[in-house]
Formats: sequence, C-alpha cells, structure tokens
Amino acid sequence: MMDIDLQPDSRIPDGFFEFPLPVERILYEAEQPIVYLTKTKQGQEMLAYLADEADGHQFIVVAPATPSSISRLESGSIGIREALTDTWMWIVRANLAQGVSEAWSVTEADIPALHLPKPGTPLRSEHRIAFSARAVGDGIALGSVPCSVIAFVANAAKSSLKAILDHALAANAEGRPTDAQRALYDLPVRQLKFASFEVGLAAPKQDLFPNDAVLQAVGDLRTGLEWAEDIQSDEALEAGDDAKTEAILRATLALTPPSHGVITSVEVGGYWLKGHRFTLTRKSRSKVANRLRQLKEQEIVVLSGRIGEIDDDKLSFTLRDVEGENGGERRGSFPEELLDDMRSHYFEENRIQISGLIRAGKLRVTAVVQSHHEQGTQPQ
Amino acid sequence: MIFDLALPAGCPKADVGEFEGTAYRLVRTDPPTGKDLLTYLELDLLPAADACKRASISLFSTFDQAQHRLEISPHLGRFVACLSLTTAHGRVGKPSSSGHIDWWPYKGMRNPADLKVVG
Repeated sequence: MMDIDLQPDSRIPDGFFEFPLPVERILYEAEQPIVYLTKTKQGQEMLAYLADEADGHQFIVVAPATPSSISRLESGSIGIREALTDTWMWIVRANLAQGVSEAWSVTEADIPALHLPKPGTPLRSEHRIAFSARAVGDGIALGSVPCSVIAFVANAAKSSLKAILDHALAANAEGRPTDAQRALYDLPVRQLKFASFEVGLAAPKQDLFPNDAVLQAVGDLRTGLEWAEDIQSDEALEAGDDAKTEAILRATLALTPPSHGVITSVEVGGYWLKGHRFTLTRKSRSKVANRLRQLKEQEIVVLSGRIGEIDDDKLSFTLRDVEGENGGERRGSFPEELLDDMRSHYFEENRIQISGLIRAGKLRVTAVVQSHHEQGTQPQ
Repeated sequence: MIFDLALPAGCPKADVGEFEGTAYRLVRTDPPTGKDLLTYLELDLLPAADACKRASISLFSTFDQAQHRLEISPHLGRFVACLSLTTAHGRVGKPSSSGHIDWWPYKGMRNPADLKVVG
C-alpha cells in the first residue's frame, strides 16, 4: 500500500465526497478509470487520479479542474501530474469495505513518487514527447532566450533525426525529401519550454513508417549519444559499417553545442531514448567531430564541362565533355540553392566550372560558375 | 478449452476470440516471474469491478501504450515485457482507447518464460 502519512490536522471535514467517487467523464482508462473527472457533493468538478489500490482501499488524488485546464490536459499541452499539482490537492481514501470516502489536504511532496504520474506524462500516448532537445547555457533563461538558440535547437533535432532516419530507412539523402521523409524528421512540435529552451517532438504517424525501423534508428542514435556523452572513453565508435557509423556520428554531432556562443550543453531526451536524458557538451562535440574526420576521406575537385542531363527532383546531374577525362562524364548532386543556376547552365548549354567534394566516389557540387575560357582546371 | 482460472458464467463474452500477435505486459522484475502474471482477482484488487474483468490479465496492444501506462502509474512495475500470443494462449478482448486489453489464459498458458523484457 502507498506509504503516506495522513495527519489528522490535514483531514478535510466529511461531506465533500460520495462513496464511491462519481465518475463524470473518463479521461484515461486501463483496467478501470485511472484519470477522470469527478465532482464534490456540492457540484464542483475535480480532476481525479487513481494513485493506488491495495488492502481494500483506493487512494485517489483530486485537484481543481477548470474547462481550461482540462482542455490543456486533453490537448497534450500539460501533463497529468502538472494538471494535478498546479494549485492544491486532496487525497481521497476510499474504504471499499466500509463504503466511506475520507479526504486529506496534501502537497506533491507528501505523495510517494511512484504514486504520481511521471512529470510531463500526457493523457494520451500519442501526445508523449518522442524526442526532445534542450539548450543549456548561462545566457539562456526564461524571458531572455536568444532567437539563435531557438533556431539551433529546432534545427539540431531535425538534422539529427534526418541523418539517422535517412540511413535506417535507406532513403535517398540527396535531392528534395519526399513528403513522407519530411513527415518523419520534421516532426510536430508537441512542447516548448522557455526556461532553458527545450523543444519536444511527437512521434510520426505510425501508418507512415514501419515502427520497428524507426525504433532501430533511434536505438542507433542512442548508441551515438551514449558514446558522445562519455568523454572519458577514447574508444572509437564502430557501428558495423562505415556508412552506419557516419550516420550515427552526423546525427549525434547535430545535437552537440556549437563551439562558441551561449549554448554550452545540449540535453537530449524523450521516450524514444527510453526516458534517459543525455548531456552533450563541447567536449562531446570535439569527440564526435574527430571521429567523423577519421572516418571521412574526401577530395576537393574543380571540374570543367557542360551539363548533359539534370534531374530537378533528385537534384542530380551529369557533367559531360569533362576536360582532362577524354570527354568522359561525371555524375553528381548539388544542393537545392544551386538548382536555378544549374538549370540555367543546362538550358543555355553553357560550359561551366564546378567545385565540389568527392566522397566514396560521389561528387557533391558546392559551387558552379560559367567557364569563360576553353581550358578548365582539373583536380588540384 | 479450459481456462487457467475458474471464470464466472458467461465469461469471457462469446464475441471475445483468440488472438495471434504481440502484446505487452507491465512487469516488476527482469526476468519476469509468475507474480507478474497474476490477475486482479488473485491480487485481491478491483473488488468493485466486473468479475470477468477481474479474472483477466491486463495487456497492451503496443509497446508505446504499455510504456505510457507505466509512466501514468509508475508503481505498477519497472519494465515492459512483450509476449507473443497464439490462439493456444487463450481469449483476448478488443483494445480500449488506451490500448488496454484483457487476456483470459487457457489452462497452463500463463508462463513467465513467454515474457521478454523489452523496455
């Protein structure tokens, strides 16, 4: 039975509650109503939470309920515990054999932690925070969160999930993401906390993606977070193959604090990470970046030729009549911001020079200009 | 088929069928023990509840729903275990909006070794 010290001087006079407490509306039901709306004999609506049932007694936490607080609870804006502890609380002990309900005034601290919902737990499972990122730093406080911090946290969460999920789902990481891909890593924001800026994301709709693949990807990310958090260990991260290791490192790197600025650490949590909260510091960032550098071998190239084919959707192209390669061709990809330039050069059949990076045999263009002379430049 | 517990007449209802698939159970220990598969009736809980429901074992349709239940009532256990149900395991009710389902096991089919902790 719940270990709670119910003192006589905290006892609420009889006459407020029926036995059993009337269930006006069920908000969460498992084997029986667990969270529901009840009312006092005087007709005041109360939020009720079944905290324990043992030895012929039910312990029910009741708290004032307003249409606004219930609406926020049902929409997932606040958790069950927060709704219960927002103002004042009573605990009702219902003696099932004697058929009486007695009430005591209690505080959150009086109730054993296991007999209250975990902080932030919403009413519906689909409202749970799947993944959260929180920026921590001296200059980050309620009312003075710099805009750049908000942008960083939102982008960090999105970029990290994109890196790991694209790999896990074998998605084409180049070109414009499909609507389904975007739905997966551009998850709906479920919660924003401004005290130290935190963004909480809801899980994607399950019918869009195989849930086990998403969980596997998140499990891989957890591996990276654990590794990055442990700055004492100099063991290299190995995740089977280089592509997977790189995806994990990129996903993890996105969640580390920048080398400069107000953000000194980032806390990553959510139920996807099994409730564990990881803290990544600038040392974590160095560790991840160093490992990523070890893993990557890339070459800067400058090529001259003309665009023979272009795919607007995949943001890919074929460079033909490549100078110094016996008129051969190279396939490559380019970022979306170069699309207009690449299209113009293609339609105008311009001879161009591109610079880019070749990694694992794949060319990724970083800049393109029209070539004003016949002789281009080969890789330097 | 014979059920593992003596059930009230008409329990489970005729429209409650057998089930094949994965379900999730809140458990206190890893590995789970026989105590993790007791009914409310055996635990002497929910005295006012429907007698048929009291003789069932609570399961959840998905891992997320089971984990959510654990977050709402942390005293119920420490882990979520999965269980691969076959038609030989018994009769299983339809899930509620929270994903809660009732399982009335056939005789000898309450085996803690079938539970594997997954979270």
